Amino acid sequence: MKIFARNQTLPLRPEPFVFRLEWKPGADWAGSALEEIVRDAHFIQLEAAQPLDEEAVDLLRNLDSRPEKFSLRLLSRAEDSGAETAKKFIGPLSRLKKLAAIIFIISSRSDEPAQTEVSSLLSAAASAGLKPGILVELEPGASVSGLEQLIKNLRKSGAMEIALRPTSAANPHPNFGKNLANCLSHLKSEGISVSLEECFPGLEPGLSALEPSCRRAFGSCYLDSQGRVRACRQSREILGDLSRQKLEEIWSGYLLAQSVCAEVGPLKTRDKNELGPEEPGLSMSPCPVELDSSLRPVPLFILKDKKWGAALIKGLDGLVLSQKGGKLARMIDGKNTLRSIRKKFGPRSAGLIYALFLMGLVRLEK
Amino acid sequence: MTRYSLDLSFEDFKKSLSPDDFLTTVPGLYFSPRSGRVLIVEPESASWLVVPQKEFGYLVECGLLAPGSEARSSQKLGDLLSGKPGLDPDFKAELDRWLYRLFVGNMLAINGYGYHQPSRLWAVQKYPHYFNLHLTESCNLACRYCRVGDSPGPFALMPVETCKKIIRRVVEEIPGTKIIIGFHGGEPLLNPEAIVEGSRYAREVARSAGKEVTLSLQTNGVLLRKYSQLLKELNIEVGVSIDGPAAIHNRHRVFGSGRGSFDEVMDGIQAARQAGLNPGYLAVIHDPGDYLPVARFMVETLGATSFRLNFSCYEGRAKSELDFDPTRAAAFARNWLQLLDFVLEHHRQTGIWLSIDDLNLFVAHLLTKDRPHMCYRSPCGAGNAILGFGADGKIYLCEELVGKDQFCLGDIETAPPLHRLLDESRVHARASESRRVENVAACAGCPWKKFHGAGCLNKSFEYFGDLEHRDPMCHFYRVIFEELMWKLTDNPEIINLISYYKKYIRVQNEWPVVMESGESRPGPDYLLGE
Repeated sequence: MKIFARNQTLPLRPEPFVFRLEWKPGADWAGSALEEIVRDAHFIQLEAAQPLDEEAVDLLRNLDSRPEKFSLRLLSRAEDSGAETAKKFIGPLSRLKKLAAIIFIISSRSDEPAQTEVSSLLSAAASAGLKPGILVELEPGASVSGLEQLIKNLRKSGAMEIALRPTSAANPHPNFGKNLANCLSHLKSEGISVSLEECFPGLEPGLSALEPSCRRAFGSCYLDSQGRVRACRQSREILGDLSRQKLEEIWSGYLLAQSVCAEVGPLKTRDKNELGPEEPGLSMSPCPVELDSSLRPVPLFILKDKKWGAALIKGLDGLVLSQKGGKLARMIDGKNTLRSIRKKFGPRSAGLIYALFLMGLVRLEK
Repeated sequence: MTRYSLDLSFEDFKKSLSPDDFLTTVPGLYFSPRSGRVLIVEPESASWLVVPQKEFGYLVECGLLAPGSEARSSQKLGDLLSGKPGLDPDFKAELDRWLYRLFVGNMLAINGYGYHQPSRLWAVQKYPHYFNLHLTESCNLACRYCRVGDSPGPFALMPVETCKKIIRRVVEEIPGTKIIIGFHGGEPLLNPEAIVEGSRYAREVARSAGKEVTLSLQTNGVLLRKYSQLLKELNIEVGVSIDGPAAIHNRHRVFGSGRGSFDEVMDGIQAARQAGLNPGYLAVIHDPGDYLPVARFMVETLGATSFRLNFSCYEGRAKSELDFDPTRAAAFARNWLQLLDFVLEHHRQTGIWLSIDDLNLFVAHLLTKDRPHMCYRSPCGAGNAILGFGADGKIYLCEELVGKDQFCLGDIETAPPLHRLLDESRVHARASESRRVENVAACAGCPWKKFHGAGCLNKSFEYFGDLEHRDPMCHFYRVIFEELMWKLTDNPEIINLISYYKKYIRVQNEWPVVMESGESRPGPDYLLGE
């Protein structure tokens, strides 16, 4: 979820649409809570806390057969599973239609044989038509030397997505943030994109221009295998417990996410029909040139109607809009021009569309 | 506006630039570094560019490329170089050229929009031009990968009257002036009466309707000795399925007894040639190691310069008779790419460019926005470029779907006018919508989606059981498109492989290839000159 500036107010708080689930056999969210999850989810990320087994694959099959529209991501510890075991499941996994990516977790300190195993897994998964990726876990206090080469090797082996996360929320050594930012910046200049799966304590926001994909407790949440809901994997604050509550009840507690994630700014609610000052884009700098009014904005997002407005979702990213903003977003269909949208919603609508353009949520066509 | 006309030259582009121009990065680009260069692919318009590592770093530093960011960054052209004193003077001197390359590759938007308008590319034709008649599903062979299921038959033959009715209705009711009638099966030569009557009738009704008709037939070759003369007289284009030398062919192309059919097929080919036919050749590859020996056989034994190599698919009898390793795509891609060296070597030795489908087509896809082959469009050609007809007169979206009720549009006896049938069919509408790359989850974010499309509806349906899936061999395409880009960059001669597709396509003006040394190559037009 995009946040425009650290101290800026957020327009609205959505229910999460990215669910990160920790999987163990008998997970407490696997029963009736799953019904609520699949109804609201855009992405369900399943992290196998144990080596991949038949039961996990069955769960994925079950989710895959659901009529609701959402995508699945699977995180699996390659080192624990063993390449041969994991390979056994690649065939069945390749038949799932909702599985958007399979991510193998590897430690930054893994030795050469382990890296070779992961390379072979990446290659097998890619060959089966899956989109393979790598999640590198960095030990707190670990040096980042060697990380660059590890990432280059894994990219060469076929990792289409590369992400990092810390093994724990403990603070790393003082130069960690700077060294990591340099490493990532160097990789970027060579065409290798690395994202952050979670916040890195010690890594200053903006230093590497990287947005953690947990979106700072905004649009995403974490459910551990005991059914406890948290803002993210690192957070220790329990927002709710599925053994006692329904997800719907938990989301009101989720409004307190500010207290569980230091990165989240204060919340502010407002009139749902107002295209108000907090609507994204209206508080941003205006477009430096007057855009040709005959341009047609083409949506690159999926629009989900909500009682409080609408969510525009693209991949793991999203944006929440008021009801009026949602109505405007529905006019973005590749047919209406900027002129016709401005005519209906007034001159301020140009600012919103410009913001959506900059966020990569629309493309402008002639 | 000059800047957005599709024959924009560098000079015109340069003249049009203004310091007030507003530059924005384009999200969703694919980057692949290799040997001191970076391949950049823009998926929405199927554009690509290879950039030396050093210049790539400068483009990132200038904020013109932003790997890993889904948001756009923006700046005015006049501010581009300010605050960046460390940039190489040579790069600064060439900046306009880099802006041009990024702009025509849709990797940079100027004043809000890009050079190509992705939603206006790849027109899909409205009505089919190719009508494939399954004259019977019976066959005198029992190939192990046949798309027909395990049932040995016998299956009914298409009655002559049904055949003629199909031909009359497609000629009279489908808009368009050029049509192709293909006789298929099963083995179509088991129904010679329908071929003879149907061919004569097709020419007759096409003449009265003022249309041009081409007749073609795909056979396993076993009955060619008997019917070659007849096919010549009927002026039917003949394709023969032969899988390579005897040791390979006889593995899967067998009679019901299990005996290989190589000798009969070769005898049929000889007879066809004696009759003056010039048959085309098609091989089905199941073992990826066979690509090269089969290609050699086609060239050295059959003397072919043009042929098609398909891979076996998880369908019909193949499901029970053959093994399909879910990770087989990588081996297929690796072996398929060896064909490129084979073709280049053949040209060096003989001066002749071989035309191997789909090697020729995929090279063409890298050089043009046109997608001449129906199978690689989005949606594919099912129902808009092709229709299949079962021996019982039922109408299907594609010949590969014949016999599958889910894709049946109706019956030739009772269907409304065929153009109306297509316009109103919910089966057609659903398939077309489902097979758009935007609507197939695995394709929507794929860098190669507009190079390849969403793949074969039938193969996806057979493997996954529904319409919403990727092609089961999609990794094959991902690998070969990327490798072809690198190979084409290193050896622009490869452009000559586009062969007969050159008459269908318009190659882009500038094809900015940057060699490992940093040297730029000229565009391809000179290579295309006849």
